[in-house]
Amino acid sequence: MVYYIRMKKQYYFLFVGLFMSVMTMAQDLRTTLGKAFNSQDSSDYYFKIAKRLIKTQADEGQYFFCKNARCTDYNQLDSAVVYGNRALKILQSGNDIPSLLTVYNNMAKVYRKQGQYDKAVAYCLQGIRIAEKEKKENWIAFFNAMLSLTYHDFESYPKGIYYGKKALKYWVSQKEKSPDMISNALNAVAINFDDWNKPDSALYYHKQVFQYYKGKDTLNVGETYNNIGNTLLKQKKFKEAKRWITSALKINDKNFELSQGNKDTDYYYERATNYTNLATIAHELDDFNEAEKLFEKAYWFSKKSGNAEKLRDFYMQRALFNKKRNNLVKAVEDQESYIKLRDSVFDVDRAQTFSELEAKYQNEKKEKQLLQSKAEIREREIEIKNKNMQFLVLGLISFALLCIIYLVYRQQKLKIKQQEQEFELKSAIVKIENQNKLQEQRLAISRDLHDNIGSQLTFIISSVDNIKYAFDIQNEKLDAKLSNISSFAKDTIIELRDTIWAMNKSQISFEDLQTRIHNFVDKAKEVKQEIQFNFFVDSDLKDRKFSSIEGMNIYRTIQEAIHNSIKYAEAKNIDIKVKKLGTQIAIEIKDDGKGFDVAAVAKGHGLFNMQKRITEINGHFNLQSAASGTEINILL
Amino acid sequence: MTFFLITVFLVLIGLIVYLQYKMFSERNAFASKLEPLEQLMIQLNEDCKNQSLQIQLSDDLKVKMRDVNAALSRNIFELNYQLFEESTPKKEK
Repeated sequence: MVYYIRMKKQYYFLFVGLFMSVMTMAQDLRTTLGKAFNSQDSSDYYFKIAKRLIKTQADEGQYFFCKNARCTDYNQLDSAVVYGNRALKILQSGNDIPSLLTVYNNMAKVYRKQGQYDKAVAYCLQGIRIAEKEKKENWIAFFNAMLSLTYHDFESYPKGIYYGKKALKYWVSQKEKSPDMISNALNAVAINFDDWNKPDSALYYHKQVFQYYKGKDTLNVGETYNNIGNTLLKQKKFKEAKRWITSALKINDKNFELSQGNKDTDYYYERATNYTNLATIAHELDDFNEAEKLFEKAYWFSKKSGNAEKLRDFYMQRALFNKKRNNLVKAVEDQESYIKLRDSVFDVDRAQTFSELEAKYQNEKKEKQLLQSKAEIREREIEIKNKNMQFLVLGLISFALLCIIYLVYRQQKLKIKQQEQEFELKSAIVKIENQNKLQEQRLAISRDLHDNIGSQLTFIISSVDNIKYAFDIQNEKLDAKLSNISSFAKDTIIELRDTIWAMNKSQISFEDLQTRIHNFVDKAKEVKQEIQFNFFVDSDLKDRKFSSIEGMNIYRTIQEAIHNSIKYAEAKNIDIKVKKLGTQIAIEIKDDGKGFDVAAVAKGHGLFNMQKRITEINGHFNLQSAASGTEINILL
Repeated sequence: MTFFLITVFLVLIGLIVYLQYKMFSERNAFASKLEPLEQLMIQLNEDCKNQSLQIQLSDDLKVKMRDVNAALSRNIFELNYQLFEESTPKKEK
């Protein structure tokens, strides 16, 4: 285990060591390449060291990239092309986009100098494609500015203005404005206008440069000074033009001094421009000696700059100068050089390639835009679909919320209703309970009263009977009156007892009624022994129950009917039958007495009361009487 | 966003179902709470009805007793009157 940990430690240190050494080497390569690029005299030496430090393909790419940049800046145009192509080969397969775009820019710059504008445009467009893909907006602006300059050199000024304005628009729209970049774009637009014979527009754009350098060092705007002078020269304002161009030359000299004598491309290019312009002014002012001297300088710098456009301008101006001096041989020579150079630059094939490249780029761009707009439409469709969906769901949510509000409202309403119902029910119960208590109290008082009446009646009966038997009353009238009082009191007691019996029962069954009627019949038998009583109750009806009033009324009706039969009918048989008739109860009281004429006999209290009692309990009363007997039918 | 809205909608649907269920169970609970009260009410009503009938019987009896009282009073008065008639000529003799 210890061995394993030790091994692990060793591997860890080895890995860290290797990583550090690789990083150091990578750092060394970059430092060395930096020195090689910036050094004036020892560049080759540092490049040789850097070459030895190359370990990876990325290192190689960086090496060729630096070589290309150095050669571009120091006018080694062919070498720049060779190194550029090698750098591109490696960088295209890597992820170092800024280096790749820089190489494209350098290649465009080199070909522009060489007058191979078709190739310059091709590299610019390729650079733009990559920058667009990588969304490097500043690089798109760089390439647009380069295209503007290239089209200018190719004398395709409207296109030059178009690309220059594109670059200008981008740099001006930036929050942090870069005066160098804006000045570059403004100059590109202005020189196109200038050579297109639109000096006013050219001066307008040139002078805008000073807005961004107002109150600052003019060392940055040497090119603008020269360009303004150039425009004025075309306007035949020679003296004014000379002043501007001389100032431009002084600025360039000062910049050269400040750069510690660094003779890069710009050094030769700027001076070629300045001296050609100054020579032209001298020739226009007929100062031939001065013009000749200046043309000589201009020739030297133009040659050194390696810029086809500069040489072309130079030959053109010197041809005009020699023509003016009547030095026709030299004039023809310069004219021939100019035409040769011009032809090499402006051949038909190149122009065609130009337009093809442009068309290809524009087509690609349009296709790209088409695809982009299609994608946008698709995205918008999806967005609209999503929004529709969201609206639908929002609608459903609103509906659900409304439902919830309604449910909560209904629930609250239900609760209130339930509480009200409960309260009402409880109130009703309390009310009924109170009513019941009151009724109970009333009934208790009634019972006491009935007991009292009962005892008083008993006292009367016993008193009357005592008087009757104790004093041996001879007076018949008196005796009858006493008997009458006694029997009346007895009847009243019976009635009182019957009522108390009914009052003490909440329900009365037929069985109870049967027992009660039997008692009554037994007593009646004692009085009239010859009468035969038959009492029959259907067994199904024994459990049938009546309320106290119903029971009492039925009992009293039967009692009254029997009483009438005993008292008036002189009957021998009295039949009482209670039967079930469907859902109804039929009670039949029949005697075999002498009967009576129902029409002739006015209904006395007895008959009337019977009918009234039955009607009160929703029953039907029927009485039939003949010589053979009387029959009462009650239907309940 | 859509997913969030759908989730909210589903939650609300759940809430609706819950509220419906709660309402249903509250109704049932209330019905079972009221049932004994209703039974008691029916019982009390029944008692009240019976008592009313008994009171009616009592009232009928009261009327009857008034008639009985009047009849007895009349009979006793007549008896006294006769006794008075019987006793008065004897005193004259």
